[in-house]
Amino acid sequence: MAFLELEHLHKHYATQTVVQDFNLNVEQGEFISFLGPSGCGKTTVLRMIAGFETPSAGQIRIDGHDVVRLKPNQRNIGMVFQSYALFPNLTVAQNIGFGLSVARQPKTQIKQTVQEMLALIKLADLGERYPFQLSGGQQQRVALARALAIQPKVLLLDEPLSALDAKIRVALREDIRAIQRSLGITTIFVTHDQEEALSISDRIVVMNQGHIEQVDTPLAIYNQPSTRFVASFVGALNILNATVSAPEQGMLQIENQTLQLQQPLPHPMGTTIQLALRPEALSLTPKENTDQTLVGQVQQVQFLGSVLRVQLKAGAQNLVLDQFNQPQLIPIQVGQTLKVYFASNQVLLLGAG
Amino acid sequence: MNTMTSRIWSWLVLLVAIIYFGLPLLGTFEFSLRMLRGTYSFEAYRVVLADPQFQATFGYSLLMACATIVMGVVLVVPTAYWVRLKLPHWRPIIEFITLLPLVIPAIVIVFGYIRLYNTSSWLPLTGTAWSTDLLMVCGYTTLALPYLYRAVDTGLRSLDIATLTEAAESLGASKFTLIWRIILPNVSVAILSGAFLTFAIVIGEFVLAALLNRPAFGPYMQLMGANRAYEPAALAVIAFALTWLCMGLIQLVNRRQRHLAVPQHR
Amino acid sequence: MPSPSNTIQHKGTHHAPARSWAWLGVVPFLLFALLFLLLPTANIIVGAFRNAGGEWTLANIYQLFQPSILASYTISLKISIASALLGGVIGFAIAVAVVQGDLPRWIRAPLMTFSGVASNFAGVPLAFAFLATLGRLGLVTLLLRDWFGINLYATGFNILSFWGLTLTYLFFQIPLMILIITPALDGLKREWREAAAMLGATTTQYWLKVVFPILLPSLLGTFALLFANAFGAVATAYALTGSSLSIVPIVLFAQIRGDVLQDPHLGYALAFGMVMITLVANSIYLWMRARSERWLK
Repeated sequence: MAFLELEHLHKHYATQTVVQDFNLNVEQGEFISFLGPSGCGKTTVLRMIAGFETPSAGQIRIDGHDVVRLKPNQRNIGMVFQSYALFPNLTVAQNIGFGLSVARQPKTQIKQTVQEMLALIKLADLGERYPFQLSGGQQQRVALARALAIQPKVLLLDEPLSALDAKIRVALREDIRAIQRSLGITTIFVTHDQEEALSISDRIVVMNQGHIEQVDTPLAIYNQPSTRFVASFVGALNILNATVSAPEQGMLQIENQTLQLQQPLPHPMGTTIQLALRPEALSLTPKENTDQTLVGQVQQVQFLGSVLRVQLKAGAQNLVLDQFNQPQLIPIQVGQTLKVYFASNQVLLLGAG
Repeated sequence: MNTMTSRIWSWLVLLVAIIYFGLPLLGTFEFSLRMLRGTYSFEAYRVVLADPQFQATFGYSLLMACATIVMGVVLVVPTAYWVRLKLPHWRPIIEFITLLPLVIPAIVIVFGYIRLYNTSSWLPLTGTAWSTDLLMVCGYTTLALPYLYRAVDTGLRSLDIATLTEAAESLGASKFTLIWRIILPNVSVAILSGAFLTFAIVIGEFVLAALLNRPAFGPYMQLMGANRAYEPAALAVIAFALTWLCMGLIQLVNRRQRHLAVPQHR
Repeated sequence: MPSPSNTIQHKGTHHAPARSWAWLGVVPFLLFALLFLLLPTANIIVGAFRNAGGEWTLANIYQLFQPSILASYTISLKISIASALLGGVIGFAIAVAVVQGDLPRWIRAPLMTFSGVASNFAGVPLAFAFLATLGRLGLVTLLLRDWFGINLYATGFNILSFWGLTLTYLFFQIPLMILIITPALDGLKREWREAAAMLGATTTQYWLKVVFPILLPSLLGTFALLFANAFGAVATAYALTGSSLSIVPIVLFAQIRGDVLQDPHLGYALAFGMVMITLVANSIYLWMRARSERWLK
């Protein structure tokens, strides 16, 4: 039995369905991300777990107990909001101790827990400050400590990093993950940022239009996307139209260039299908002699620091290639014709277009 | 259960409020119709509107209100603009001064006028009728200052004054052209809101007019109240309708502004 | 025209910046404020500390403590405090009912418009309205008599009294409270309520520990503003009661018109006392507002 069980969750308002048939089992101590575009229902699921929304149908069980009928303040769940939501009239220490003080814990106990929490978020000296005296990153740390101080069964993070600067965002997400690991707390993290989800999750739930597209580890989500939505939402992607020329041999035609995949194709000869290739799977030099190739003309070269991004046109189709920046790289000229290599097992088949 | 009781309370509060605010309005209106015995009629309104004193004092206050609005705009808009553009560190001082009329009761200010500008003083503004009128317009402008300045300053804040000014100057516009063609139209809604509020304050104002002895609408109403029975109620209904009209116009221009404005990022 | 900073960089030396004439732009405003706001007030305040011969004295201030004037201040303070307190509490209750969503959303816009109207509907007409409603021949008085057999004036009620005036003042005090406190209530974030709920707080605990402390500066500040608003009001009281209720502004009004105190300098002292009281009330308002803005930055 999983620690947090969501079964057949539905949520619909008067005219529209926001969440449909959402099923998920989360193990104790697991770090799960809900990833998807805005309006995909990820926040609604989170708010149903928290108790701010009532499911139209379905069940939510925490540690074996049905919580759907419990009010938010009876669920013992911690939540961190995008806007920090620190109480402006309370100091940092009072904010962190809020949950303990409404539970009427003894003062000494509260003080000790607050000290521990302040140490955990590395803000031990700032207990007497007010929220408006802190930076955004510090405020979000305090919000995290406040949520953790009540020792919740589940920690919910609702886009906690979206309001922060890029650098702080990366640092804080590492800290969140480290703290979560050390406490072993079951965590759900809602984000629309795929890089965030990929970098810190045990598993990712990719959502689209109210339903789950795929649940898997970051590696599997990226490398074996099970639907076209997942493939295109997670990571950058080249999508190419190809015509099947010999299904049994895995032969394809792209703009009069032939490719051979190492698997037979489940489509009859002459059908047009779509292939996907990650920009970083393409290379300007061959690695294996089974590598497939495509020839195209350079449209644009962008220097992005560690990566050189080359945009090519093969016939009518666009192709983007990422190349690590190395000093000995031969300069690429716009208009030049290039041959691009890739392993045939890097090709993602998206099916008939 | 909690939401249910709180909802009942909310409706109860609203109901009491509606009774409290509705009854005086209804009562006044009903009273104003009672002039002819045994029947409801608009006789009181007819009498009031036909009274030459009413026409004279109302016209006079109307004139005062317009003069106050013009003086207020001429005084406040360039000052608020200039302070935003060139003297930002002066803003707290200017703002403080504009808030003073909320602190100092009007009766004290006009007391000061009578002392300072009496016929034997260095500036005998109360000496002649027209100079007293001028003094009264200045007094009304002072009373309206907190509202007008705040409205205009808020309007200016939503504009990027410095950039607009630089853009206009780089296109060769003079300061006058800039204020007249760029700044004014952009804060016109704020000015209009302030103007209607000023109008609502001035039209029935009593203390200044009474103590400076000018034939304004406020003292006229007070006089009617002391000597007549039904006309005052009719006057109150007219005054309330005027206030309502002013607030309605403020709402209207604000709504128009929202239609014209570029959609804001939320 | 090069900007000053450019010039300095260019020469690389520490020249004093060119004398700025920018302050000239606010001279008309300052002159106006001086002539029609500051000097008249200063004149009264100075007059309060001088005798007829122009010598400095505290005698006028001492005179304020004679029983009749103290009584005026007391009744003024009582009416101002009562109308501010009641107006504040009732206005707050209405604003909460509307903002916190227990009432339908569409009520909000008309309520705010009405509040704008009613808060400006002070003065002579307001007095007429209450006389026409609760006076001896007013609608409510007659209705109570004819429908319920209650003789309002036999119960001791009189519109020309402390409670009558307070009830009348509420007509602009409550809407003013609604107008000022609604933005403060809007400033309460939904996330605060949710965060409190997540931390196990009940609704009562949330109100006691979060909402009231956050709103306290606004509430106290608005109370001070309502107080000053009632304290300085002349026209409503004068039109309602004539001079039968001797609140401070009415005594001052009568004094300016006809020297009823038989001592012009006592009039200055009376005005000085008014300014001091409203000054204290408004200072509280501004100070509290600054405090709440600091939190909610």
